[in-house]
Amino acid sequence: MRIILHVDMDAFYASIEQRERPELRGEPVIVGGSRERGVVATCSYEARPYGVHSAQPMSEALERCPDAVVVEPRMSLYAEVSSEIMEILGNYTPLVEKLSLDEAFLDMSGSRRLFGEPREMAAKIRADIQEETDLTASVGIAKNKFLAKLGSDLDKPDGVTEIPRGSEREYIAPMDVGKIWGVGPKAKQTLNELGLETIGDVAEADEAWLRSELGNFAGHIQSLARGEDERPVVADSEQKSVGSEGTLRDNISGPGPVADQLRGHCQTVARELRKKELKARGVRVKVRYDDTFSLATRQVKLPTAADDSKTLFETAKTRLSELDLSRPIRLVGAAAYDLIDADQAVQADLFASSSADQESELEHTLDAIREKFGDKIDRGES
Amino acid sequence: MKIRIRSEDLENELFKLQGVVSERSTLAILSNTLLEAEDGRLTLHATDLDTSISTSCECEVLEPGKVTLQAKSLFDIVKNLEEESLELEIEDNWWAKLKSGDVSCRIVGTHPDDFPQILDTSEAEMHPIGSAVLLDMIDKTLFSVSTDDARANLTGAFFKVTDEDTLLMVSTDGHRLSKIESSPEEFDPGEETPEELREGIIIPRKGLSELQRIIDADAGELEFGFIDNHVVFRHGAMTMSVRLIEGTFPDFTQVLPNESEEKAYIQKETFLQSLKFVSLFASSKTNNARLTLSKEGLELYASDPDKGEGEKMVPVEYQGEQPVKAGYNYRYVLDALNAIDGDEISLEIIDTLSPTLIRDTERDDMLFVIMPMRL
Repeated sequence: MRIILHVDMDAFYASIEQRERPELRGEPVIVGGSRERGVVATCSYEARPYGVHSAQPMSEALERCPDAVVVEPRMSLYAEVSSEIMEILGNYTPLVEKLSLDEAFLDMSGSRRLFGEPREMAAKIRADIQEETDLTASVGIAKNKFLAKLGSDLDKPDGVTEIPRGSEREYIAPMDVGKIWGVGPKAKQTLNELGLETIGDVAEADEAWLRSELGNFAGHIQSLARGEDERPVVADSEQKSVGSEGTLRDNISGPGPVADQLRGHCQTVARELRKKELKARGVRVKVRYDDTFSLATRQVKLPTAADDSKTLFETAKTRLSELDLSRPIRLVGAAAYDLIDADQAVQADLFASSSADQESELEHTLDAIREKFGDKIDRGES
Repeated sequence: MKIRIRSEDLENELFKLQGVVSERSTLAILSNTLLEAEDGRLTLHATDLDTSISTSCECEVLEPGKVTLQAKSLFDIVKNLEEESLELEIEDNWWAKLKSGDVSCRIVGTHPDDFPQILDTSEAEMHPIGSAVLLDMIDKTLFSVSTDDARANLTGAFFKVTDEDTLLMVSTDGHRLSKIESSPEEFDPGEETPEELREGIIIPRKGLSELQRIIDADAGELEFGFIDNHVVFRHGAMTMSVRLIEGTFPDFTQVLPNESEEKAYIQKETFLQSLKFVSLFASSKTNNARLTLSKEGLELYASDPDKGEGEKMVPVEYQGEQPVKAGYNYRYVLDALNAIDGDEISLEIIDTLSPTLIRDTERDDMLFVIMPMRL
């Protein structure tokens, strides 16, 4: 019996903006292009009662909700939060298929013994996401991908819906055909013109007739309408990272103390990379604030793959200035991502210093010394 | 609005817009073109908000007016007309009625005010530049423009008017770099070249590839100018404005090695064919191929544990005392060789880790740099 979860973040971009800028909490927030000619990418739940929705021209959205705060999208920030969420999901099963920045499928069929009944799994995942990112997610649980995706949309925001096993077909029959995965406005119109209004209508329609009207598409949507979907959850290849983080005994603040912590974590990460004979093409820094318990992360690509702490640290440090370090911080962490085999040929970069090689060699030597004489040796501050 | 126009004229103008109209844009209006009929001309505008094209042609204006129509489908319709001319009339609900011979159709349109504001480029001071020269500069640099959005400042070509009043175009994705400096006869820097052009601007890939698509190398006149953080290109009745990439282009002069005394001279075609051959053995993960220069010639070598290994020796003229070698992503080498028109190239490998230089021996105005791969 397959157990598929669809995890869908609630108003993802807008929620991140509200998290980053507490003054926006409780306010209608629209993330999108400029006021004159942009379009709504997403909006917070506060804006939705006014009739604001994604893909709407910004001018129309603002007519409906003049008090809304319009925020320009910050895709790199959303991508960072997204990779954090995918990492959390990866703790539950290796079978995570990322659909977009804010949604993913999990195949939890083999995880029952570990995490309990599907609803318990969903609760744990949602709690983890909430704690790590201060964001909410909605989850759909079902026997296949289509039904799970349908489910996550039924109790939004911050809800869990399990499509009852055995009676899936009856459960979805009354729903609008537009809810079928892959049926957009055009296809919906075509189906409506054929007299098919609900998912049940499609499920019950004569197969041969439907095929003559819709061609090959017919078979696909009819199986979905009958609640059948055998497509497997395909895990993204090698979506791994190596990280190190620690909660501090006393809160710290300011660039100096944070950098000191970061250096230590970069050393741990680099050592781990070398032990596993890996190199990283990117490095991520994260801090958790004590006052709001919120997590802030920044990530940056390395000019060329590295496994030495100096390169990781120097690169990660450049992003510290983008974080508010004046607030009390309770946790600092570093992670290396986009990993490749250490012996793989690496493209050198025109604009990077060529010192990473020497650094790597030096730290490999230090590893060997540590191996022999113990752990009480590191690179110091240089 | 009501016009009578030659089908071929309309088709030609619509063709120019196809690259900037998008059917997948989140903003539906951007898949439309704004048509304006006035004073015996039909003007068409299209934009993706970063690149905008306006173009026009003669027509018989029976009733002036404006409308927006879906650009791709209008192009498809006009392309398939058999008659020489067509008549287009806009109805009250902004639908367009098109008649041509025994064809008649009605096309969904929208109110012209739905269309985004088009940048007014009439105030830009324009500098003539030959179209052949500009297209050559684009041809030599476009392939090494970065596609990595994380390095936004590299996703366009750097373009500047130098202190010597020549034109410089440079592109790099961090792994390789292409540089070309031209002094076209047609070019006139004018009295006061805008400060921005003297310092250099970054023109996004899209604008350059569209120019390449639309403009014919023997089309003759082409002008460029700068206004309000946009570069403007004008060619006959066509004007393209491209929003520039903000940010600083890296100081590439710092990373270019000095011209080496020890160059190898190689027939381009032989190099190209040999590299294609050994690339059959290159790892598909890294595309790594090794080049070794010595008195014996140029040795090309690639290997992959899953495929095997391949080697080829090419005779070259090389004066270096010591053999030098380095590994490369062979695609980068192929790209550079393909950008060169001449029969002979020079290759300068300094050492395993330094940038390698490739030149066309007949042209000293351009240079291709490739960073090796580290093993």
